[in-house]
Amino acid sequence: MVLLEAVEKSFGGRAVIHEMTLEVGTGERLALVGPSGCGKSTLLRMILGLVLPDRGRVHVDGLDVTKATARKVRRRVGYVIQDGGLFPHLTAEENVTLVARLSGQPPSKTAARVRELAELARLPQSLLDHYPRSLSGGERQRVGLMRALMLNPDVLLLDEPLGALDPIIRARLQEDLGEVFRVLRKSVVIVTHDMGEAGVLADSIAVMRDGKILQRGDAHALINAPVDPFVAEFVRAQRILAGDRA
Amino acid sequence: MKPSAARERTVRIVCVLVASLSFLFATTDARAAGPNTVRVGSKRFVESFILGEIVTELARQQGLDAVHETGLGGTAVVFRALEDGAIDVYPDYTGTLAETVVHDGSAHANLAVLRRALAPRGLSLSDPIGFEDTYALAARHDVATKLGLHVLSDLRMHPELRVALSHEFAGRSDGWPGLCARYGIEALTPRLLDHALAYEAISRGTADIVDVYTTDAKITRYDLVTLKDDRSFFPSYDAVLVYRTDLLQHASNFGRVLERLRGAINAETMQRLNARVELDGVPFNRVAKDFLSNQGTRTSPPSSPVRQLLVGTWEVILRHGPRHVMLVAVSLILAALLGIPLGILAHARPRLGVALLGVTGIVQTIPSLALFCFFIPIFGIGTVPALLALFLYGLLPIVRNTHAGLASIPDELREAALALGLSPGERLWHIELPLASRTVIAGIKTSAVVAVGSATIAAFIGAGGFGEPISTGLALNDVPTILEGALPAAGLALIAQGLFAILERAMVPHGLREPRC
Repeated sequence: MVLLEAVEKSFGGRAVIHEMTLEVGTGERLALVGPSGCGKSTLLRMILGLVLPDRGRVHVDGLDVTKATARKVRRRVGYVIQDGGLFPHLTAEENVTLVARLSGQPPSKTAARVRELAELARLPQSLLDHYPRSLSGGERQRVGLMRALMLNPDVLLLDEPLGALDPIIRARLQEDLGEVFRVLRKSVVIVTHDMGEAGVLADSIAVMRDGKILQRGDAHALINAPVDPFVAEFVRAQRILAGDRA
Repeated sequence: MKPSAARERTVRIVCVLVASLSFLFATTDARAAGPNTVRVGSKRFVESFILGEIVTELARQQGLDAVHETGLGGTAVVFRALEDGAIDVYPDYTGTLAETVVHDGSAHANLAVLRRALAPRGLSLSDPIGFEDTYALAARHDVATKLGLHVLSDLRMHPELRVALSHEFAGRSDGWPGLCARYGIEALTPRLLDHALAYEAISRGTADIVDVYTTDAKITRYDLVTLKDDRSFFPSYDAVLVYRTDLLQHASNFGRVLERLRGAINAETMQRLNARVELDGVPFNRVAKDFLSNQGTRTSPPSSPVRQLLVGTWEVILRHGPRHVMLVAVSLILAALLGIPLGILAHARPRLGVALLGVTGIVQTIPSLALFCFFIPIFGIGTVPALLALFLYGLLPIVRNTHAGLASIPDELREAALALGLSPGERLWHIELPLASRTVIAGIKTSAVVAVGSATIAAFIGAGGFGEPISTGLALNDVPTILEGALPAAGLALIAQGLFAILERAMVPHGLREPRC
């Protein structure tokens, strides 16, 4: 589970996260939505210890995230970024198994795990020895997901995982992601600016603006009982877009 | 390929390179002489080349296996080479030797004194070759005739004469200042010019008196009258051969060469030989052979210039190639071994990085000859200072490219590596260096090509390599000889390019290569 206690962060005098408290329970799936620059990516990076808060504390699985513990935390947290963030000099399989190999896991064990993950992420086995440049965007994202899941983390963080994909692939991957989440029952935090995606992939949605969470609840609650004019407007705008798209 | 396998392979490649280079180093430096081998040295100017070539030819005629090591450098370099046994004999002048060995240029060095000083060093002196090459003042022919100038004392009567001196002569204690004092000619006010320009001035009639060497080819050309040193101011600069005393033991026939040369060349002859090379552009080895054949010794059949160039180039490759390759390779490996870590450091500590790149950049702007010369007082001449200078030159492209390669890694990949919980060392070795590898190798390639070129300049401080024929050719203004060194150097640069293309294939990870069309 993930717990943020009264965290604050400013960059160059500008507050990016205002005193914020947030909890994501074991097996709970939370989507962070909001306009660009609202602080949602910073929040994710704080959980990983890539950004340390000016004030307040971050806990992951009971571990206080500090400079000293950050690397330990990162090995327990899977992180998927837009377009996969794959290393171009390693094949798909080498990308997935890098950390396992460096931490000395026996090759037989990692190979079995890779096959299992490929099935879970629906990546054809034949693509495992491909380099990222010869994979499609969707395939890269599936490899990125496999890499995040390799060490079987308790927490999975995804930053705009479907942001760079075209609609058909996006829909298919969204479906597959939802399936993975249901099967694995991990704590998930997913950052997106798409309400529809948030509704499908998460149990609860937090709408953020200017470094604050305005409202947290399920899609139904946000649509029917917005607590803030901005939430109402944001939800409405997203529905119009969704309507256009359909 | 697994990262650990990549590392193993890299380590293996480096080991093989180092091993083969140390072998090269060992073999090229071993100048073990065979029983009948004579290595003749010469200083880097025409007269010395001609004399060296004459000695070499004569030694061959005595059935000795003689090699002429041209273009070793100035007195300091050549004398040291003789003491170290890198050469067996070279022509020099008694005055110069007095200054070098007994550190007394003013003493009118007599042979007995010099021989006594050289003996403990295992060196001997031949009898004088027959001419003197000393400083003198020379007057324009018309001026000399009009004023009746014959000896230096005559100058005292004519303070109006326009004197043009080379910087060196004007500065040396045994040059103008001493001369003024001895002859009381302080009233003359010399202008200082480059030696070549002084001749120009005299031919245009803007100078009346210049300083010359007594065997200078240009004395004839510009029709100058050498003024006699009637108060014996200039030390005697008799041409002699200096040789290792043990030479006569392992090549006893060399004694006959010494005999043949005793008093064999007078000043006029030497002037004529110099003029043929300097003014008529005849190759010095040709001039040497002609000189010997005029004396009734055999001459070699003429061969076509192209064939001569090809044969010469091939000989240069065999003789100087290994050493040139050694200079480049050893300095390059050292530069890579230090340059890559420095580049990493420069990237990890940006402030330090600015300073590092600045300093290596400044080193790069020092002219190579100057850099080579800086090291002479510290490391002497030869291989060590040359390697050090080449190493410093090689550093910048490697440091800069390593830094640039690391800096060009996209932020999201850097962050992805961080987010995986990799340690700094793991990130560097498994992610950042492989991603930067193409740029790093390009930097090493640049260094290699620069080193091939700079190493030709190392010959000026006696480090050998393809620079030897180049510097010889420059001193002689002899284009074919320059080409004999320049062509292999250019070829080596191309080979280096090709080798790095192969190395790039081997070292740059597959996923980073340009997809083939």
